[in-house]
Amino acid sequence: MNPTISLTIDGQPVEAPADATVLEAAKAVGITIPTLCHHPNLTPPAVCRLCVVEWEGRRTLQPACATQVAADAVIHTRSERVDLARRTILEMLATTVDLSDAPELRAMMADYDAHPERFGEDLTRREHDPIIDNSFFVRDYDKCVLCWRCVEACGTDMEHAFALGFSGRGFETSIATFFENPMPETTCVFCGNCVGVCPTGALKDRRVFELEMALATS
Amino acid sequence: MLTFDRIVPTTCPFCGVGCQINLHIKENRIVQVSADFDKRPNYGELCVKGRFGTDFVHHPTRLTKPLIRKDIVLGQPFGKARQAASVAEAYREATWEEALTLVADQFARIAQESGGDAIGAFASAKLTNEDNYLFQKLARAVLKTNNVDHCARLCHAGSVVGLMRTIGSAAMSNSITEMEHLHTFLVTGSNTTYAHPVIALKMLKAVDKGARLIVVDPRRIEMADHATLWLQQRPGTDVAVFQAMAHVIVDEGLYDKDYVASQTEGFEEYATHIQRFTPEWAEDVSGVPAWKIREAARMYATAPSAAIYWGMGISQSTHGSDNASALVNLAMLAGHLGKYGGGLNPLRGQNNVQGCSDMGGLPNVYPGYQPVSDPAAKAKFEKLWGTELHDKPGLTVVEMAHAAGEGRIRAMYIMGENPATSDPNLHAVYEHFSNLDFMVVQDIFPTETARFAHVILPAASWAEKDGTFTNTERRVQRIRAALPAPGEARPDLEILQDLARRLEARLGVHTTPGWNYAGPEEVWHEVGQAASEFAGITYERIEHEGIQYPCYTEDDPGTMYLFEDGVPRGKGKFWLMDFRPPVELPDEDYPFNLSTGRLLYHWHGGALTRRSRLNDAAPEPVVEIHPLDAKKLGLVSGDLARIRSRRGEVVARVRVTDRSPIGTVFLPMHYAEAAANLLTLDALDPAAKIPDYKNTAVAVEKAEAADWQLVLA
Repeated sequence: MNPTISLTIDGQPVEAPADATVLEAAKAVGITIPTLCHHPNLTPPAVCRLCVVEWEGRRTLQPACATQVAADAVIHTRSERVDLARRTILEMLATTVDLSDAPELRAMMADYDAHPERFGEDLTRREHDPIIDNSFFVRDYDKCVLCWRCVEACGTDMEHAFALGFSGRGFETSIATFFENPMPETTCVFCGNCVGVCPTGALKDRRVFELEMALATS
Repeated sequence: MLTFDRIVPTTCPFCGVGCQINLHIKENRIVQVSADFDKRPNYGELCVKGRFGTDFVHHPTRLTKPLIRKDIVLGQPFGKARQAASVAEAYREATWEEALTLVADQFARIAQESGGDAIGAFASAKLTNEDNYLFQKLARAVLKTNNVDHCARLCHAGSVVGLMRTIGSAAMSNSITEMEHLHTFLVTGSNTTYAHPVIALKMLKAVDKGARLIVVDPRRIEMADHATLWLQQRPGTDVAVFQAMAHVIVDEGLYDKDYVASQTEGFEEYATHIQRFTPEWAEDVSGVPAWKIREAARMYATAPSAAIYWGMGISQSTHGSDNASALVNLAMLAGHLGKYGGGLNPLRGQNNVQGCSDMGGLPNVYPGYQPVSDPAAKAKFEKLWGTELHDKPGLTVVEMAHAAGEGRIRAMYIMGENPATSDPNLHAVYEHFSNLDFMVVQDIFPTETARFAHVILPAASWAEKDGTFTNTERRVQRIRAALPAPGEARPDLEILQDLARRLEARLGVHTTPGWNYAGPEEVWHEVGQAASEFAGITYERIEHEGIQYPCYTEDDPGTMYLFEDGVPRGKGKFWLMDFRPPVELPDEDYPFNLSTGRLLYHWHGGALTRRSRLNDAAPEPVVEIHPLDAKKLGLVSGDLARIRSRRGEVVARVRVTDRSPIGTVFLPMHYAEAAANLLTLDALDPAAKIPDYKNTAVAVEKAEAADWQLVLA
């Protein structure tokens, strides 16, 4: 039997299994922590930092999706510091990535009062041509927030095909195939499980992509 | 961002995994498929076919109107069945009234002239439980024949016989849910990553967590790359390997003495029988090193729980039932039955092949596997259906084709099956069909089989009707109408009832409760009365998630794994067998062994996937040849090769790969233009009547572009 521990989240006493994450413990008592890279069926990569929470006594903000609860912890999910971190992350994403296919993220921006325009006009955006190299799905990395879900779904969390990784460094980082080869020349088996977990429409059924193009021009 | 008109949850129409999918519909087209991450059995995972391959329902060649062959004039005698080159040239459009009147007239005439047994009926593993239940009821109760069979005969008949005679149950014993938590498992004769892709993912997760995987397969399939032990036996020598494993388990005293003593019979005789099947003997026969057989036996027998999974490589053989019984022997020795993560698991191929068999789409049993020869079962169904039945088991798929050739079967009713690509030795099949006085095909496409028919009835596809499918783990799941059927195509359930009413009027037969079911739910209710293992499953209960039968009452949660309280036969019977080599072995004239099988991107006869964008990923027939063989033949990848057997020849593109063992070439079964079954032989397993699709002697030689054209034309 998994032992239960007690902690406090947002002033509320919480009982949680000792191996639960902060995200799970909060969810169990109805506290919603926003997530982006986290997906219930995948290993949390903890790269987006949207789910960070303030843990009294710990120096840095903690990613709720990948942090285990501890006895007597006092955690704040909407402190000023947390809100600032989330707002800044959302603003930085919005200045560089096309979020038009990510309604949840846009709703979050309203929630956190994010104003990407405060960084000024004329910012370099991450721009790519859509990659249409197979009959099944399109990769439109303009919309990619590098959440890593597709890489995990292609790897040991789901498909074991290992067709996706990344290329580039820093701002130029992009999800990519080896040597940026076209999909049919990789180990891809076109299961589309990457499409299924993509939160921002960067990966899309080719039929949907083409319909959108057609509707946009008609 | 695209918005959808509606999102309809349903079950994937391809393989037996039974993935739960959502069809995203816009303007009556499926534009996207998604999956819920919290729903069994697939938990959001899909393969290329389910996610991207359902566009076949919109293909322009969909049948939209009843078709009658042009040379048929009502009231006058007409010619035998023959294959038309083109539907447009050979058929004219007709009304439903005209087509059904013709069909009913002819079936009634032939039944009256020659008896119901002059009619053969092919049910379908692609259609719903409700469709198949009514179909076999129509054949048995109205036409008075047990000549009902379907493609399970060509796929798991070997497994069914091998399991029934030893433990008394043929369904997959354990569940997909258990796979992630396996301790040890053996996969044999199953290219799981291609044929059951989502099940393969669950297995690979188990391997990631440290599960030990034993693969027994002549081809270096992907699972072999993940295996702890890979036993590469020569094609057709499976029994030798399994018997030798059993020998080791007995010899080293590794068997579960309590289980063997309390749950099985015939052990003493069996232990004596297998003494001569030493690993060294098996090494001679199969080419698998004796040490590997020993290791595999120890690994399997000493695990706390270990599962066996198998596919067509075991079943599709003239000794398919022996192969399956050999696996049963292993499981009984190790006592791996009736526990979590164990069991005997034939992976069912078609989306509803389990259901079609359950519904009595078989010549020897009523729904729920109640034998037609059993007077009690006969009496039960005579009462339920309110009419007289007869107790003689009918003919199997291949036997029906033969009987057509001999004139013993004069008419055929084929619903959603394509025997003109899936039966072995096609040239012979074509001849047999051409001897039919009357043939009706009910399908969604003008398949190779449909083009033999006198009348073609256009049916609604899986996305255009309601009902249930039963997946490989016995889970009964809903399918839902998401689209209107094209043109005048109608759901099979309606066609069947319409036809049944007409036939009853002509034949003076009356069944209960008549043929006026309000819909599939009402049919399903009758299924529960016919077979108690389904009685607890209602549409309401499976609205969100399917239930695994047996499920006897409405508060029964269903059955995750079978045999916890022993096997249905009472005591499991150890089956004695000797090793028999394949019927046709390579010789001087035909020096290679041909194995047929599936690709990831296509489905069976290709009727669906060749009409989908899946075809882009695998557009042409490719034969796999080992590098050493290719060198001898002067072939490189991309060349064309002619593959000849004693029965026919095809031309395919060459891929040189060590996936095929030396001496064996592999040809997928999906391509009508290079139909693998033109080559295969129709020798049958004596018990299961299943043909051998994995061992045909062939010759391979270089072909020229002109030959390729010839084949396409």
